[in-house]
Amino acid sequence: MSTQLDTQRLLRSSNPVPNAVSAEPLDASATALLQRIVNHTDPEPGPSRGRRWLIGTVPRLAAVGALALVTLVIGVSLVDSDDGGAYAATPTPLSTEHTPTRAGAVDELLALAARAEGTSYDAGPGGSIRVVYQSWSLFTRIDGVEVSSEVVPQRITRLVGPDGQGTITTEHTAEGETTESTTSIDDGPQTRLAADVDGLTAQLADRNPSGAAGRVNAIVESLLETPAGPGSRGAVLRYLAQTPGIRSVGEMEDRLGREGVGFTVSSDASGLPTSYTLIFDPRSGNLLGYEEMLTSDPGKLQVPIPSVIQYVVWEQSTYTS
Amino acid sequence: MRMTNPAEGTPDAEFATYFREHHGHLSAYVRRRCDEALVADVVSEAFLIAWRRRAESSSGGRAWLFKTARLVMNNSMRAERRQQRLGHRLASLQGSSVRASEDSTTEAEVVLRTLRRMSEPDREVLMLVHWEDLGGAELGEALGCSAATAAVRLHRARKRFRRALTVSSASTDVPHSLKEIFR
Repeated sequence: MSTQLDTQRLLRSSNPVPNAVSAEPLDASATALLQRIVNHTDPEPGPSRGRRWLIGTVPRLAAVGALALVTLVIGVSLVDSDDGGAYAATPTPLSTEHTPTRAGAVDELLALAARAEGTSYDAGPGGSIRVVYQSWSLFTRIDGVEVSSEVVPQRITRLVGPDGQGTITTEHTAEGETTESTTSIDDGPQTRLAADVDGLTAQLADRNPSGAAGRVNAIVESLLETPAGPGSRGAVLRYLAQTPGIRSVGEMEDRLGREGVGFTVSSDASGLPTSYTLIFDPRSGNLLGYEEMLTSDPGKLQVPIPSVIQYVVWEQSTYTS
Repeated sequence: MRMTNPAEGTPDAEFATYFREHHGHLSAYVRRRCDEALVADVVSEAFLIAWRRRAESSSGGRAWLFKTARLVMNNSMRAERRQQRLGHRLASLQGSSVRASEDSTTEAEVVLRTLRRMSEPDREVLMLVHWEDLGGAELGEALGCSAATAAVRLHRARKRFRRALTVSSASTDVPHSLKEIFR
């Protein structure tokens, strides 16, 4: 038997959940679900832009989660919109007045990469990973006919050993109460980020970065999982410099009040025009924050324009013994 | 209020047919990818979206439902990384299923362990093809790309899977049958 066929047989035989039979009658719960949907839900006559965004282009940054620390929550109350409806409160955009340097984004990124590579190793000893980050996300869900928006604050601590086994601790704040939950994970052996741009590009290719926004998301996803030493930070910055449409935002503060420099790409790949901004420490090249902001069309989201719809703030990212 | 048994040919009846045809497949798809406690919610929401977007869902068939369910999982459970959830799911399924024989159980465990360590895109395309039996245009629909692109992704994912399984088979705790295949 060929290895190809063996591979297929192995995969098929490892299927842990038997496939369903289409002709099988529905059980009681499925029948009840069908009745609930058909009897109590108005159909939407046709696709709309807002709905396309909702279900067709959920940002790849699902990893980020809807995260934020209590102290960083801007608010969950609704504010009046111009048309008398209610907006979901969203964080104040970090920077609306851009101050790009004359050098331009690419030169600025390359200069920052060189500075990062020139710093002494600071990513910590040992092979275990500790990443702590806060984030916030406005996400949508289908709840009745209208698309509703919700603010969900969380803070995540990721502790992973070299073998990929570890924990994710999530602090979740809702209605003034903070709850904490810890989950065990097994991500397999951990790989350090490459310290050269070609190696990093190959690593990030596994995340299928598509377009400029995809490349930014690949960076964010990687750095949510893995600390970056000086060489890797340089590689990240050089990778970003190769991103089509990258622009300099200039000096800005992240949501912890740290000084940074911002770089952004714009894309409507999500279905709604969105800017994706990364904020780096101007000295070390460490990634401090990430912001997603709707720039011109909220679709069916009840938010004003512009509106931050997601952000991440890295508190700590280091190797430990 | 619409009726429980809608007349043949009505939108309700067409959706009911669609629902009956795909409910089991979608439930299995979701059950392979997220915690059991969340399966009903994800299936429910995916079908709700399908109802609201009937024109699109009916032409997209089960592949459209799979894609939608995956996005629902991403969207509604952002706090926990999808890959980690799936890793847990595969880990929890490992050893609790596929127990045809002692040897085949061990073989399945090695395969699941290998899958768990692959990237999410590679794992998804392999699972869609070998567990959900998708191919061609359906595979493209489920992945949100063209059939040609899906085929390329599948080819690369299989290569990486074989490479990963070769590494796994080098360890001492795998059955002889795997060592024979990947020696």
